[in-house]
Amino acid sequence: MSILEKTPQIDRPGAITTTAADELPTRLALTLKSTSFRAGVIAIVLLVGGFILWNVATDKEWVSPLVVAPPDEVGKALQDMFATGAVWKNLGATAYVTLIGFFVATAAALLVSFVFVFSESLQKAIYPFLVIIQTFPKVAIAPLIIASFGYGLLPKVVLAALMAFFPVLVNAMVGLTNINVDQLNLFKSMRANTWQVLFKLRIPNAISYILPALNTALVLSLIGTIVAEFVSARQGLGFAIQSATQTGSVATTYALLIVLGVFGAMIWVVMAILNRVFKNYKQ
Amino acid sequence: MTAALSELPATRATNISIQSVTKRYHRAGKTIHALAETSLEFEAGKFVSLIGPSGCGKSTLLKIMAGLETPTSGRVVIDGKTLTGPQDGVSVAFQKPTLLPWRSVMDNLLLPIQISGKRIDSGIKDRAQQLLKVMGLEDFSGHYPRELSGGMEQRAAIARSLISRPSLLLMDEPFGALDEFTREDLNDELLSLWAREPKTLVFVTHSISEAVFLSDQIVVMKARPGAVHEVIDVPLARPRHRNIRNSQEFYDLIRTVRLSLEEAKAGHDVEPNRKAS
Repeated sequence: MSILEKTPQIDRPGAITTTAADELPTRLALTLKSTSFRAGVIAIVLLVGGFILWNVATDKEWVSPLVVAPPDEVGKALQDMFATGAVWKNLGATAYVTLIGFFVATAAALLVSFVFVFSESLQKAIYPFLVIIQTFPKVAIAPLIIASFGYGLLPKVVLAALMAFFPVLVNAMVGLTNINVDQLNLFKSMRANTWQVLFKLRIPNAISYILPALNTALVLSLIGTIVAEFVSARQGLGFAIQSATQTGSVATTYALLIVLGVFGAMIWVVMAILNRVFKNYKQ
Repeated sequence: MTAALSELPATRATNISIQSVTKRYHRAGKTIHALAETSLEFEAGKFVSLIGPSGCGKSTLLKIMAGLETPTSGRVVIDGKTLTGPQDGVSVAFQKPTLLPWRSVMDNLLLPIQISGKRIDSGIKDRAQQLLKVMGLEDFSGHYPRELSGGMEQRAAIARSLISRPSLLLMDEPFGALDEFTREDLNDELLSLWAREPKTLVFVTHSISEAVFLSDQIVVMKARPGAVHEVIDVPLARPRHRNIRNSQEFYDLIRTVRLSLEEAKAGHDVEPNRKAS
């Protein structure tokens, strides 16, 4: 039963010390050839090249300083933001709305998908309306939402949740209903009841479908939040970007975009970790 | 190897009677005649194989016996009771292992117990561990299906089908996807498990030698529509050691089954109305 043998790891750097000296060039050559090493090199070259290009382009005034701020000014703007603590206030406000919108949307989408699994007629009746809401450009109705729900937290959460709702719903529905026939027959042959099929088969089956949707939902919730902050807010990254743009401080806008980018990357990392935790749920 | 299971109380076996069962499907406006009128008796405690070309309705028949499909006409009687759906005491093993990927091997084995609403006590866990040991999987109870080979997955699936001590085990080509060596190992293991815990076993297969090695009786089926062509008794002594595969008796039985299968095919192709002898 040696089928479980691990595949040998070729480019593990730690292994070099334990191998004979004459094998060393081969291992080094293998490392240099490996895809991840090459990808890393390309990524670094792109990053450094882009930074240099940015520096030179602003220095030689190839582009207007009204459009692209020089790196040193952006760096200074970032520094100021952290020094005054303004960045934490805005990032905190945005993250707060994004997360609440995301959780509200996810909870609502999962609830609706369960209802749809149990009642096909309800699904057929309600789903077309949801599709209409989905295809409607929600950014365009942002001012309307603000007008209907006031100027507090609620309108921002509503917009964020509206953005995030649909991908979770669709994937949860597919995951709950797209069940392997053999697995369903297995449960039937064991005389499993509806609830056992739901909790022991449908929900675990849906997890690998829902996870990627959560990633999309979180990003869409962030977009919804930013748009809502553009329209009406006294804090948040969207508000800060809006006011920086209006006062002509291009460097501050760029600094805020960098903060936003880092925040987005953090979302991605969290989702990658979640995916690892649930790796056994892939069918 | 099977000593560990000898302490377990003996299970009972089940009588099955298939009475004038037919099955027709309606797909896209067409009627598919999967099973013509079929009557068969499965004696309690016997190992019976269903063999025949694709489309002979052997899997359909097995699904009807499992209560997963309802016959278009006729009925299935298990221990005097007419079948209306899946029964307690009946286990099904599918062609694919059908393990749940999010459960460890041990948790997959315990699934039937959980579904039946019984408590998972140390006795059940011991039994699961014993079954894994018989199947050569004792070191893999904490592993996940994706970490197992095809043969190991099918071993785990068979262990799962036995966990609740079924009196009837229905197996739908469980070893069809495995290589010849693994298949022969699993044939040995299946026979020793079956000898330890008496039960009626209905086994669908494509392999003539597998059917002869395992069975008391072989039901040869023909296709379009599916029907029983002939029932062949296999008088090989038990317990059967894998060496009997080299005996003259074994070869003769293989030839008998092969001829019957060819006859079933010719009967269909050349003389559609010819009666089976």
